[in-house]
Amino acid sequence: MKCEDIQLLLLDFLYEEIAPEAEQRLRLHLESCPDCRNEYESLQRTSLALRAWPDAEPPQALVFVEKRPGWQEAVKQILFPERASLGTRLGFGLATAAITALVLSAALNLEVQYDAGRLAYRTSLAPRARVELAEEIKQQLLAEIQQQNRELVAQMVQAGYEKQRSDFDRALFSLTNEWQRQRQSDLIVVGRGLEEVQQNTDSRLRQTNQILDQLMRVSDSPQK
Amino acid sequence: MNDRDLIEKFLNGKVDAFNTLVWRWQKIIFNFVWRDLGNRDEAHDVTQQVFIRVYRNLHQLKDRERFSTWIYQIAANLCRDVIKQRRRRQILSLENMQETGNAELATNAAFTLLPEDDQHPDRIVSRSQLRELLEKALQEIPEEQRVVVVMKEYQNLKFTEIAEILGAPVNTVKSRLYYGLNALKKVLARWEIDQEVLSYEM
Repeated sequence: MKCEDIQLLLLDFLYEEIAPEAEQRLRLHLESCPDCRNEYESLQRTSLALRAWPDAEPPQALVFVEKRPGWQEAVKQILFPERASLGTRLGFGLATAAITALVLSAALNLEVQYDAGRLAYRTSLAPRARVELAEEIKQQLLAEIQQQNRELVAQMVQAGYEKQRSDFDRALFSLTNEWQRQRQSDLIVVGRGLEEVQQNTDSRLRQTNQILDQLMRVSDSPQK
Repeated sequence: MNDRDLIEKFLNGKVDAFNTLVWRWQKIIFNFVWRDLGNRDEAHDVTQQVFIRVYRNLHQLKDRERFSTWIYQIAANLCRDVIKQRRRRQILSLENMQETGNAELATNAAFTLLPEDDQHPDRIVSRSQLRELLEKALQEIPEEQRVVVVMKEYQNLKFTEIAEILGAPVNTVKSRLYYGLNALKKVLARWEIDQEVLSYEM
């Protein structure tokens, strides 16, 4: 075996895609050829060095929802289930799938698992086990819920601002009110213990699951 | 349920099925794009675009068994577009700086990322610092080599799969990988990064 033929075979060998008899020939050659051996070790070292970059989770889970008539109402139900009668002027100019997906995943704080053909949802705020929480942890949880809403509001308002400048202030005002009311109810929920949060979140999520079946098609293209 | 079945369910109107597909693939695509573009935020955006494109064009996919090839093609094409755009934004003089600029940046990065005490054999670097190093190093090699390196090393795709995705002969793919790995070795050497450090941390 000549050294010129070796290059590509070295790669087959390195990545374990080599046929047994080719492997045999290669090993024999490597035994007697220090240049090729060095070449192989060099490739191997670089390959190993690359492993210092493991996979990471994407920053946000993507969720697609379908737009149908009345989709705004449906999304409101997800975000503020206790207040389904939020004013219609929400400034909801969600034109693109990307924004909608982000909004929903932020709102729902989704941790989605794929489990035997079904999507199962879990929020990271509500672990399964029943736990007594210290006051400061409850406060922290509450702050996180608020933070989620704040970011969501900012995004919605931003999207709304771009599309419906005249309604911007009204939208902001009603959202701020809504958020205050939301905050009150969250406080009470957290105060009663984590299981209750779990229950509320679960029912919220069950609703979401149903709603996902009937929701917005996020596509501004005429294609199906 | 395999990809093919999910696609069929989705095309029959179940958005849930599509979300399952997204869930299954988004981490894979995100990491692929991140490594090819070398920028996490950009990768996040491009990943979304990949899935939006999948969402809109899935009905056009002829062979549902080859969903993997197809989605990688979309991702690779989008990455290539981003990289072309990057180049267009650079003025010629800046472009020239880019070559040395990156190297300088990287060398400075190397000095800030690794502790001053070069004499000490056990340099302690954090994992994220190592990752940053590789992120920058990969950007130093040509895109057509980088994409193969990423597909082989990180996505663990077979040579034949990579060849199909890129529409190139298998030997071309191997050759690009070979040059890519060698180029990386030179980059790391130029930055005086001991490859031992990188593999030791694992």
